[in-house]
Amino acid sequence: MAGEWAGLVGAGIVVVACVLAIFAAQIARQSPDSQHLLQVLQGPSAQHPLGTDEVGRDVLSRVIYGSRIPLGVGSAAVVLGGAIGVALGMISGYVGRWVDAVLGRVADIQLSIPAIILAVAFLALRGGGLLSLVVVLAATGWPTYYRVVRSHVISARTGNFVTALSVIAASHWRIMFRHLIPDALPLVVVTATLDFSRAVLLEAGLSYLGLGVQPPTPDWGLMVASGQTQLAGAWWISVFPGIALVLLLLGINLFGDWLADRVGRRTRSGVLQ
Amino acid sequence: MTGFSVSGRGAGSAASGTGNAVAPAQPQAGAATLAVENLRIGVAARGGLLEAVKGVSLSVGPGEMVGLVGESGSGKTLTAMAVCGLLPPRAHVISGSIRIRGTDALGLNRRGWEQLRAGQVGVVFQDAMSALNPRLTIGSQVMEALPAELRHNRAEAKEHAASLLADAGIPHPRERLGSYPHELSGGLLQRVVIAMAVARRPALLVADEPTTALDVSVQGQILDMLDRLRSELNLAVLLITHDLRLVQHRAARTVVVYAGEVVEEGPTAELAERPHHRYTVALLEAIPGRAPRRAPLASIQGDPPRLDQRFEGCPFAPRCSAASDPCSTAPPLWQVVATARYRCWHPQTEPLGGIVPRPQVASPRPPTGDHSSASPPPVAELVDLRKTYRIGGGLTHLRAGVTAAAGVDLDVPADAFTGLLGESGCGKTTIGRLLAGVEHPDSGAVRFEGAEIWSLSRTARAAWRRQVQLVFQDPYSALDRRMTVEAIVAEPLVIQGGLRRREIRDRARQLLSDVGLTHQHWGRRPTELSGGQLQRVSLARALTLAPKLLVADEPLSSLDVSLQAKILDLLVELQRRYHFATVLISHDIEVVRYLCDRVSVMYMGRIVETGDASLILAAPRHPYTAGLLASLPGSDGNGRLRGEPPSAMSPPSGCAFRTRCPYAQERCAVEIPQLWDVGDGGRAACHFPLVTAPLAGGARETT
Ligand SMILES: Nc1ncnc2c1ncn2[C@@H]1O[C@H](COP(=O)(O)OP(=O)(O)OP(=O)(O)O)[C@@H](O)[C@H]1O
Ligand code: SF4
Ligand code: SF4
Ligand SMILES: [Mg+2]
Repeated sequence: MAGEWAGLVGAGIVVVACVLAIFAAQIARQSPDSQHLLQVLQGPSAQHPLGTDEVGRDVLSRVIYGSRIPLGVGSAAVVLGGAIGVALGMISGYVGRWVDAVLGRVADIQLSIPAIILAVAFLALRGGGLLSLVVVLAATGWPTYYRVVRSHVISARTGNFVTALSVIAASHWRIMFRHLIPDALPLVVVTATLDFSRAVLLEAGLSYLGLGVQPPTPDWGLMVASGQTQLAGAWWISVFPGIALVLLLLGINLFGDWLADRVGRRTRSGVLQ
Repeated sequence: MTGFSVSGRGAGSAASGTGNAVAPAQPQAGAATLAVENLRIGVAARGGLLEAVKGVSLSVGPGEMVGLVGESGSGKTLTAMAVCGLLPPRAHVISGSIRIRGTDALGLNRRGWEQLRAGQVGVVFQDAMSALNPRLTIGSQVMEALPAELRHNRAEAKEHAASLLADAGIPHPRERLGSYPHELSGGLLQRVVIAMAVARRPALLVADEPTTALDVSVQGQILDMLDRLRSELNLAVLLITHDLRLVQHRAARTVVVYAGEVVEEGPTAELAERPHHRYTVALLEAIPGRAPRRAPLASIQGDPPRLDQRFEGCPFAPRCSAASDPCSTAPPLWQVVATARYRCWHPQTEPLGGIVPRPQVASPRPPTGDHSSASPPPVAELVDLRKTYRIGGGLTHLRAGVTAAAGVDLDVPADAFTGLLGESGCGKTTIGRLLAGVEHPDSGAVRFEGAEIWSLSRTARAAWRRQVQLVFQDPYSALDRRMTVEAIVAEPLVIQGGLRRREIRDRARQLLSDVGLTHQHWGRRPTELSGGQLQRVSLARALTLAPKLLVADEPLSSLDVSLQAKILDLLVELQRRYHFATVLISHDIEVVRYLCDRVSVMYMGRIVETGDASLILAAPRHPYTAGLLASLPGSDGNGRLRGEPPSAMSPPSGCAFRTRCPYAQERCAVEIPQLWDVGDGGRAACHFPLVTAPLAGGARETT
C-alpha cells in the first residue's frame, strides 16, 4: 500500500515538472533573462519569492525555465539511447553467434568506462551544446537497454516462444516487431525511467562543471554552479535549483520503483499461472 | 461445518454416518509424530479472507509414511507449509492444531519454529535447484545442515557429510562434496536435498512433490530411498503428491483432499483397490495405465473449484458423475469402514482392482507376418541422423560436445500415434525438433513424404512448413501472453494469408470449440487460463493449418493426472477427426502404451528398441526398455533401473547402456549393438535381447 502512495507522489512530481517546463512562459511571472541591476542579490520576498541572483534575475523564473533543459535533454537522450539499445539488443539476442559476441563486447567496453569521464572527454573535444549533451547521454545509456532486451529475447528463444512462431511460418520481421518488442516493452519502460533519472543527474553535473549548456541559459546545474561563490551571503541562488533537482530525481525514482514493482509482479504472477 | 472431534473411534464395517463427529480411524493417534487436527488456513485476497484449507486432519506415526493426495489447488502445499511453519505472508492458520511430537507448533514464535525445524522437522520441496545455493559447493551446504556438535572439526564434518550423501545413494560422495549444484542432475540434487533434510535426524520429514520434476526411473529410486530412510531412522514421512501411483506400495495410509477438505482416507492398498469416494474413484480412473488403449479416460468433468467458491453440499458435486440428491444441498457425513473413512452420499461399491497392470510375462512370441511390408509409406523419416551440441563457451575455450542424436533412424507412419520414450537427456526433444525442422542436423536426412526437407525449394519449403507442427510441454512459455486466445489460434492463418478476416475468425472459433473451449474463453489471454486450458489452446493453434504431422513434446507432463486424461481423450478425438500423424515424446510409459501404435525407445542419442507399442511394452526385448517398465510408479520395483545415465559428453564404449545393464558381457564393451530384427516386426539394439520379460527372471537368448 505504501508503495502505491509513493508511486503516486513520484508521478505527481514528474507531471508537475513537465507542466512547468512546457508552460514556463505562461507560469513564470517574470522573464528569466531580464536583469535588474538595482535588485541584485535580494533575498526571498513577495516580489521575488526565491530571491534574485547577482545580476538581478528572478530566481523563481529561472528555476521554472531551468526545468526545460534537464527534462528536454533527458527525454531526448532516453529516446535515442533506448532506440539504439533496444535495436542492438534485439539483433544480438535474435541472431546470436558472433554478432552477439561482438555487440556484447562493445557494450561491456562502453559500460567499463565511467560515463562522466567519457562525457568530459567528448564535450571537451566537441564543445558543449544541446546536441552534444544528448549524444553523450545516449551513448552512455544504451548498454542498459541492450542488456535488458537481449536477455529477454534470449529467454524467449530458449523458452520456445520463438520456435512456436517459426513453426507457423512467421517471418523474422513479424517475430521481432509484432511479438518480441511488444513483449519486452514493460521492461524497457522500467529501464527508461531509471535511465531518465541518470541522464538528468549527469546533465546537471556536466552543466555544473561548465561542460554542458552555457550561460545565460537557465539550467539547474549551471545555476548551482554560478551561485556557489555567493553561498555564504546569497544561499538562495544555488539552494533552490538544487532542491528542484533533488525533488525531480526523487519523483522519477519513486515512480520508477513503483513501475518496476508492477511489471515484476505481473510477469511473476504470469509465470505462476 | 467440516470439522470433527477426535473422541470415539469407529468400529466395524460400513458403520452408517453418525453426524459429523466421527473419529478419524487412525491406528497410532496416541503416539503420533505429527498430529494435525481440523486445520483451517486462510489466504488474504482482494475480496477478503478465502479459506483454502477447510478442516484437514491427519496424523503420521514414527516410522510411518502417509500420502497426502489431491489435484493442484486442493490445498496440499499450504497444509505442508503450515506443518513446517513456512506459510507464505498472505496465508495464515485460522484455527485447528498442529502437534509435532506433542509440541503445540502453532503456539511457537519464529525462533521456536526455527528450533523445531532444526531439530525435528526436515523439509523437501519439488524444485531441488531452488533449495540450494548455486554459488556454494554441495559439501559446504551439507555440512551447514549437520548438527552443531558435528561441525566443530572440519575433517570430521566432511566425513559425516560424505556418509550422509552415501546414505542418500549418491555415487562417489567424497568427490561430490566439491561440486556445485549446477553440475549435478535433478535426481542427484534431490538426493542432496533429502540428505540435508535428514542430516539432523529429524522425527518428521515433509516432502512436497519431491519427484514430480524427475524421470520415472529416478522417481522410483528416490521414493525407495525415502522409504529406506523411513525404516532406518524411524522417520515419520508426509509425502505430498498429485499422483496416487507414487504412494502405492510405499505409504501405509493415504489421505485424499479435495477443495481443501479431506474426502477419504485409509490404508493405501485398500484405497487403491476399494475406493469409496467418487473423487478418489475418478482420480484412479484417470490413470492411463489402467484403461484399454484409447478408451475414454476422463471421468472428472470441469475444473477444480476456485478458492472463492462456496459449497452447500459436497464440493465435488459439480464434477461428479454420480451426483444426485442430496449431494449439492447437504454435506455428506463421515462413513467409517474398519480403519478407513470417507464422506460421500453415493459411494462406489465395486472394487476397482490394482492401479497398474503388471507387464505380462512374455512367452516366446509366435512369429506373425511381417508388419512392415503391408504398411503404407511413412509420412516422415529420419535416416542416420546425427546432431552434436557444442557446449562450454567462449572463443578460446576448449569446447566439449554432447551427442544428442548418434545415428537415428525413425519412420513415422501416417495417421497414427508414434511414441518416443526415454529418460531425460536421451535426445527425445532433439529428435522432435529435427523432425519439425526447427533444428539443423549435422548429417543424415530428414524426409517428409519422401523429400529431404533441407533441400526443398523456397516455395516447397513454405508448403512443407505448414504440414508439420509442434506442441510444447509448457504452453505458457510458447504463447504470446498479450494476445487473446482467438488471436493466437488465428495467427497461423493470418500469416498464411489469402483468407478473409471473417473466415479466419470462424475457423479459429471452430478449432477452439473442437478443443473444448467455449466462447467465454475466446477473449481471454494466456495469463487468465489454467494449464490444461492453455494446452488446449496450443493444440488448436497447431491444428489451424491442418498439418499432416504433429510433434508433441511432453504435452502432458506439466499437468495433473485428471487434466492429462482429458488432454489424452482430446488428442484421440482430434486425431480421429483430422487424421494426422502424431509423434508423442514422453517419459511416461503408460501414456505411450495407452495412446501409441508404435514406439521407439531412446537411450543416449540412439534408438535402442522400436516396433509395435503394445507388443514392446508388454514384452520388451531390450534390457533398457525392461528396466523402464520395472521403474513405473506403482510397480514393486524388481528389476528397476539402477543409477542414472552416464555423462553424455563421454559415453561408454560399445553399448552405451552397459554401465546400467544387468546382463552386460564383454562383447557389450567393445561392439556397438545395431538395431536388428528380433521378430514381430520389432527391432532392438542389443547383443543379448531378452526372450522373456526380466520381471520373471527370464532366460537369455544368445546370438
Ligand atoms: N501465497 C498465496 N497467495 C494467494 N493464494 C495462494 C497462496 N498460496 C496458495 N494459494 C492458493 O491456495 C490454494 C491451494 O494452494 P496449494 O498450493 O496449497 O495447492 P496444491 O494442491 O498444493 O497445488 P499444486 O499441486 O499446484 O502445488 C490454491 O488455489 C492457491 O492458488
Ligand atoms: S457426495 Fe455426491 S457429489 Fe460428492 S462425491 Fe459423493 S456422489 Fe459425488
Ligand atoms: S548390448 Fe549388452 S549391455 Fe547393451 S543392453 Fe544388450 S546386454 Fe545390455
Ligand atoms: Mg502443490
